[in-house]
Amino acid sequence: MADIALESVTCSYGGAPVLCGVDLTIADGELHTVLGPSGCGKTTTLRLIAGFLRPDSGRILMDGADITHLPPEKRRMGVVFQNYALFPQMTVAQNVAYGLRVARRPKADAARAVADYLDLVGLADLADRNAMELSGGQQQRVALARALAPEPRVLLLDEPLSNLDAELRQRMREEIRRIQRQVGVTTLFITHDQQEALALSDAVSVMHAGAIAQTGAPREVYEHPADAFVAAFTGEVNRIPGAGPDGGEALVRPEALRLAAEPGPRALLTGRVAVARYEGFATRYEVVCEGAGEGVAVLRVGVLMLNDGRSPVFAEGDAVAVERA
Amino acid sequence: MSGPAPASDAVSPRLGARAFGAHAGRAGRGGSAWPRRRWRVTPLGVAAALYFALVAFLAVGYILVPALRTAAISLDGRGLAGLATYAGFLSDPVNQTAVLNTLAVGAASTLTCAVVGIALAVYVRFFCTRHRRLLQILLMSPVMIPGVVIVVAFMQLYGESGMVTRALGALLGADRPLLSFGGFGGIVFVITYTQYVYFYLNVYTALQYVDANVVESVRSLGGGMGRVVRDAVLPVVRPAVIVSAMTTFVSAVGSYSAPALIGGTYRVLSTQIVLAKVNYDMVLASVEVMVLLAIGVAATALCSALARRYRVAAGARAVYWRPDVGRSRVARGLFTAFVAVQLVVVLLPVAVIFYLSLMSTQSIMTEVFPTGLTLGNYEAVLTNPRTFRPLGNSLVMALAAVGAGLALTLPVAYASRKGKSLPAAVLEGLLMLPWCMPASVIAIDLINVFSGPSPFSLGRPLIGTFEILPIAYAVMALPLLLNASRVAVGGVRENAEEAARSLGAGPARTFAQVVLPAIVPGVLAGAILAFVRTMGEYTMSALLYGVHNRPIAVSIVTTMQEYQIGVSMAYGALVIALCCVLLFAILRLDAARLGVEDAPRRRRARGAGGAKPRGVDAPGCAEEADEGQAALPPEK
Repeated sequence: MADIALESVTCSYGGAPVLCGVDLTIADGELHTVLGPSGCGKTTTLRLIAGFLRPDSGRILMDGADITHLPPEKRRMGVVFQNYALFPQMTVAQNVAYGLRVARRPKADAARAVADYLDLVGLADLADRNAMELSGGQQQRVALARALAPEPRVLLLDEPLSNLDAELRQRMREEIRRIQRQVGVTTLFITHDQQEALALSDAVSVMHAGAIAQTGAPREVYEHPADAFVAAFTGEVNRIPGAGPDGGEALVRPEALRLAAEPGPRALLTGRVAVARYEGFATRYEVVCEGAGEGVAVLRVGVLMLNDGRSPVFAEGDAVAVERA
Repeated sequence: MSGPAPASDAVSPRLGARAFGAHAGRAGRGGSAWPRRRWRVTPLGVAAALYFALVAFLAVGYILVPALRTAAISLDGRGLAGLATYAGFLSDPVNQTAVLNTLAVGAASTLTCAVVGIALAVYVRFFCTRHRRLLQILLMSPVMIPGVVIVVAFMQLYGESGMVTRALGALLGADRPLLSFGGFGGIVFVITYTQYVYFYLNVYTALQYVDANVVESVRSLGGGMGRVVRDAVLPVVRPAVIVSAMTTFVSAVGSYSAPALIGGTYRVLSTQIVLAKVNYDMVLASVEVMVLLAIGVAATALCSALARRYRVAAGARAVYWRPDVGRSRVARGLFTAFVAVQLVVVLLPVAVIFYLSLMSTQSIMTEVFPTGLTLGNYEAVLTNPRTFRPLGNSLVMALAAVGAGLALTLPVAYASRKGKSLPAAVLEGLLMLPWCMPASVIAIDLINVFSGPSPFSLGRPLIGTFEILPIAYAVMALPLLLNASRVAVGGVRENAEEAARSLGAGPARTFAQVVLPAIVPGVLAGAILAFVRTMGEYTMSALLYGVHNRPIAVSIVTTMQEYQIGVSMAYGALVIALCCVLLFAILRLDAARLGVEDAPRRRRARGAGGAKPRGVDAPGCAEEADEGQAALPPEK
């Protein structure tokens, strides 16, 4: 196992900067997610760590040793690609054994390891199938087993769930978490799905335009976003002028607000319910507030209130006050 | 190949760019050079740079310089003032006739090939219910059988003393031949039944992309069958028709064996070129080469523009269309009969060659249907060193040409697998140049440079040496081999190399264990096709052979002209047998490749969803057809 550090890493592609000074630390044994929209540089970051790319400047350290110029085959990093990249001419077991074969692990040893890892991902009975005959989810597991079998120091997952359907995705998410805990390998997980990132990680780094916007525990990033981008990318957010600590703009999640019939002392705004959408466990309101602040004619505020039987219920057209929950 | 856009979030320079050292950076598609400062001098990089410099040197020396030299000679060494030679050439009625005849042969053959090829494609796709695979293989066979062999067989069938001609004469008691097989009609007939394959293959492939959902949309919106054809079928098939027309036309205007052997007094440019060369009039030959080249390039440009205009993208999840065609028994019967006739015409020459190869020449000359089985012809070919030599020569030269061609093209295709830099694009363009050059053009180009000393041949003339023919064959095979290599390399799973690297395999091991297994079938299939083309190549062979390297194609013709018809047929039979073995090998290879094919990636690349029943057998080339390119380069 190992820890990874990127120190002011820059990388450009065809003259266009992709990463402009990334600092990132991944602690030993943690599952660290890099979350960001398309084109923010998150896959480039992974490829730099894996050694498929070299940075223009900056250093990449593993356990304090500079690995910036180490070729990928010397880094002992397991990579799971978005498209799985299994070797089509090999069986499932041969795919998983590949890294062990390259490392010249004794045959019996390797066979045992292959069996163990196939067991871990729940594919023990498919060992002799051609890798291409499997379903997407199964190929995904083979790719994971293949990456883990040589006992890499770091596991890199590049949007591994994006080619799966919603249900399978949820299941694989849990599975990856379980396996990562069990193996204890330092893991970098790349995704653009905020739910995935929040549910899975020990730490989340939100990436924006080639730089890390914020790093922290999922709760910290979600509840105390460093800026409007992080707030918006990790979930829904209202930007309420004048409600901030120093009279500036406040970033408030819909579930951190509630509606009241009468404006009380904690009221931030008043307005009228434009949309009330019943969603089973909760009701989602959209409130139109006028005169919310200077230069803001109309502010639409989203409010999410649990249907727990204690919260008041409003109808479209009701006059309401918006307050912090 | 227009591969899928990288699915990753950022366009990323890829692994391996550095491995090619000074061969500039190629990174993701559409990108520019890898930043200069990151080049590192590695042994592999230096070796690669040297190798690509060598490839560039050879491509310039044996393709570009000869072509430019021919252009210069055609101007009689007088620069632009030499354009007068063109004016003089075109004002001569003989030459006007040759040019017009060439255009007429091209246009007529394209039309007949279209009729035959499209009809066969429609039949096999929609009407054929049994033995479809066998039928496909038989219909594809002209690709694998050298054209000159078929021309010779046609002569034995329909020529003045051909079997069919004499049989008809005997049957009807006529004292002069009823069939006059030759001239314009004969040429077009032969070209049709050797070249319809482009239309057949491309249209067959295109028909698989007709989307049943689109057809049903047309129907549900009130359209009848006419609307379906116009709005759902035609747009998908049209690009294939355009591309096939281009390939067929270029192939037909450049064809030499048919006009030379059965054209009689019918002059076309390719026969005139050979005539001029025989008369040592290289200026005239060069002018004719330039005119022929201009016709080919103009047709290519026109069709490419049309193809671009009518380009279609397949739907995201196309569903294969199978129209209900079983209702009209009469139509079906007529169609089946038509196809049966086509099949007979295609297969008869092959049967005749094997039949006549087992007959004594004397019997062939005297009887309508020769009798008296003998292995004498084969014995003569295989045991007499002098008669065996052409066969041996061709095997050696074809192997050398394909080997050299592969060595030149595969590294280029591999190096630009992740998008190409400007130098790589230029190099590939050079290697693809022979695609639009008829064989007579290539031969005259080489004669113009290498009849004297040239720096590209280390100062010694090459004409008359053994090497010149393998060189010419290699030049002709380059586009086919480069395409096969590109398709094969493009089929390597995305990220597979990187996966291997991350698992600890070095670059050499990654290439051997991950890249090679994936590309070998496709590359080999392309190589086999090139080998067969080379074995049967007649035009360049006739223009360039000498005492040291008389090839089999020339011997097939000369032995026939010397009335050793049995020997000629035995040569032909041996060549066909070899080709059949290789065709079988290709089918096996293709199947092997289909077994391991990375379907999702390919599907995305093609823009068509769903598993597709793949047609046989444009080995290593079928993918190209999907993208509006000819599956096969024009046969020379």
